[in-house]
Amino acid sequence: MQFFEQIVYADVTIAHICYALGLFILGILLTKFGNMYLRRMLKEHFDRDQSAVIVRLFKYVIITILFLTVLPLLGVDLSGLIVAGGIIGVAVGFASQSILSNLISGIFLMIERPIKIGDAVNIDSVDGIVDSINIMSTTLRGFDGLYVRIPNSKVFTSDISNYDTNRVRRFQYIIGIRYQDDANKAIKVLKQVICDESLALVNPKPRVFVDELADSSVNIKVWVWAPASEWITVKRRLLWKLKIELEKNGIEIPFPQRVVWMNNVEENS
Amino acid sequence: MFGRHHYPITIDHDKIQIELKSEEKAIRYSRTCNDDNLVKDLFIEKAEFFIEPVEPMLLPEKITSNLLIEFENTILIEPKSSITIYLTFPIEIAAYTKHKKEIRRIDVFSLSRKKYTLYGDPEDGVLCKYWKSKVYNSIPKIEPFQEGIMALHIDNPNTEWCEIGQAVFNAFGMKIYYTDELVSLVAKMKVRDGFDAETSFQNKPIKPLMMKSQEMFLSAKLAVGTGKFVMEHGLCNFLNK
Repeated sequence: MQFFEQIVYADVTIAHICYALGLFILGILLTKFGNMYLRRMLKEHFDRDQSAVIVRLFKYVIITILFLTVLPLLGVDLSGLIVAGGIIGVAVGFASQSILSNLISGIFLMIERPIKIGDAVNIDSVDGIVDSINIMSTTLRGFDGLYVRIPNSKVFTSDISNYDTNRVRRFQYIIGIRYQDDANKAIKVLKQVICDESLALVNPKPRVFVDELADSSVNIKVWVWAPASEWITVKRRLLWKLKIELEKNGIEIPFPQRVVWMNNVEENS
Repeated sequence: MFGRHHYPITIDHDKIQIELKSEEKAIRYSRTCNDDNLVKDLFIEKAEFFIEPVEPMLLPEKITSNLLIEFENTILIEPKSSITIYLTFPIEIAAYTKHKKEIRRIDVFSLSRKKYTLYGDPEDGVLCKYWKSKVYNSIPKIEPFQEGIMALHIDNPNTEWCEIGQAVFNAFGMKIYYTDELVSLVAKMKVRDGFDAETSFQNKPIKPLMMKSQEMFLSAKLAVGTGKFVMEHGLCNFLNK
């Protein structure tokens, strides 16, 4: 026992060194097992590159804690380091606020999964296809071909519309016809055109109804359901077909009108 | 029209015209179906062609592998009983050529009405090709280039009555048999309880001496599914009634 109480330097004994060494080895082993467990746990939620970043981050945090625990045992006074570290920490904290925010948002996005790669989405008023979801940012391929990188903190706090989550989606038209036109006939014509369009779904049923008696027209609302992957094609194709078919049946889409009554003062007097 | 053909060929059948003729070093395939035309030059040595009815899932877009047949009238089946009904189903016609065992599809066309529907809710429903059919008690007379006949054996092993107004099938498992007068499928539906059922196809013709069509879906994806479909969103579509 006396052997372990021998002082090596300052107040540090051989026992202190052995204890520190044991703690260090135990810490390293725990880090290794922790890494393995964490990697397995993240496998379902993240791809390989992303989980590697998280595992590495975990490793560095544990090693830092380990050093901070072991060094005082070896007589190293960390009070100065802690003060300096504290000041540096505050400075780095301020500087890396947005980086950390993006990182944490990225992790939550990957767990929550409101979007997937390949989904057509609208994030923060940007429309596009999700190209990649990284730990710091999400990239979209805009419908106009533009590459858009959005920081994850913005993605996380923005309203997200995912056009592909459901298999089908509904779109609508508001079609105005003249007051002298027969609305029932117009509805019948519109229904027939929708029925002839193969990608306009049978169920959920399309709906066509008079929605508003507006200033210049009788407004007919048309609701059509289509496969989520095809809705935009159907919407574009169907609109022109509806217009053509209405015209064929003598139903016209009116221009804005205003009836002006002239009060002839001279004549009245 | 269906079956094996040797070059040169000319088929003129009401709304379908197919021609294979020599065009310099190639063989020109030209087809007209209603207002739809297609011309392809084929550079092949041995001209062996097949025209067969195939799964109705490729036109106008290949966006689903499920077929929903809605019955014109719903049917009621008593407890612990089995029945066989006959339905029509849409067909698509494929023209293809073969090199040893390698099949190359040249063209797919169809005279059937093309329409889609959703089986279930918008949140978790299944997109299906749609077809509406009368329910027959015997094999009806049909236009074989437009539609086929499906014999559907329905088994209700439960102790409750069962009402059925639609059937959904998975195309990965369709076994289509044909002659020039009839295109057929044999399927079965086992009612699991009053609200859901399992459907599948049987590998046999509706009549003897029928030829078997190539399975386009099986050849494209060998490992997909068993060809069964579980109708878990109900056996009737009350919303559309």
